[in-house]
Amino acid sequence: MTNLPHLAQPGGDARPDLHHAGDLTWRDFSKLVDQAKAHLAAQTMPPARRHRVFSTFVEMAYNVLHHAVRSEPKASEPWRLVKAEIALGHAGGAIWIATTNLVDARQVPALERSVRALRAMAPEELRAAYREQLARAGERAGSAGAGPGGGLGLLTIARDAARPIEFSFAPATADGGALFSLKVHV
Amino acid sequence: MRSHHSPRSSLTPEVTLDPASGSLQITGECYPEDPGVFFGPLLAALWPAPSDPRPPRLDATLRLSYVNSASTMWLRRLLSVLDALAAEGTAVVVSWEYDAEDDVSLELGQDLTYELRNLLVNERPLAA
Repeated sequence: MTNLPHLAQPGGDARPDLHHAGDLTWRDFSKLVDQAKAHLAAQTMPPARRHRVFSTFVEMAYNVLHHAVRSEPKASEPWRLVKAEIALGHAGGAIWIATTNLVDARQVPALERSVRALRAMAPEELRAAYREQLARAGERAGSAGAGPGGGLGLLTIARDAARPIEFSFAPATADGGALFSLKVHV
Repeated sequence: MRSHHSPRSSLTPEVTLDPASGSLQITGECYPEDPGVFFGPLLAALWPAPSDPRPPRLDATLRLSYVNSASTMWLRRLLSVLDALAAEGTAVVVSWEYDAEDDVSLELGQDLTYELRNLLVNERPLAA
């Protein structure tokens, strides 16, 4: 799998504290989340910051698990899974979380619009959008089309981000797949 | 309204709904693989059948140290059900208990109950 471009950058980001690359199933997700929780519990930081970092890690990993292009199941692996890279590290007093996964190229314009819109919003606008989305999502929980987080996932990530969200898309496969990379500093 | 209990797990909170005493308690963290599987039975137990008498009072105590966004959506739905019960005459008091040093949890409680005007919401900071 292609490495995350930002992990290859010099300047302290090259050695993440947590790193997963390859197949990602729900079991891998649970294990990763437990590792992140243990890692954060060992750090000295205010409870609210620990909450923000943990939440961002879970949301980003959850987004990958639910929205990445899925591999075709094999006889030996009857579940469908995604391939992804997820990392958590620190640099210059900030903690960052980064993900890379394959998305359908047709998703790229909408995804790019969403992330750019979130980057342009002030904290109070993000909270208002979150409340509005939550009120609407609450009405339709579980209905088809809402997505696992009803759109709240990216809003949650944007609210906890200390800097504008970094992202990139790169052509990845001949049939139109794109590598989506996302990096958030908390 | 029916009794409902689910034990705490690493991914889900303990839930106890006791119509006889008029109490609902949810304590723990919440980020299950499929929140619908977790919340669905609770919502079904909470909503009274048409022939059931409406309980006069329901005290809901929510102490959730972490909720992911997919579960937050279901939690809002649960609170919307409580709001509807309150609109029909049940006195519903929601106590949102949170770590006093964690403003993220405080804001989550405020956002979850935003514009649910029939609920009486108490914010209860807990000392670490």
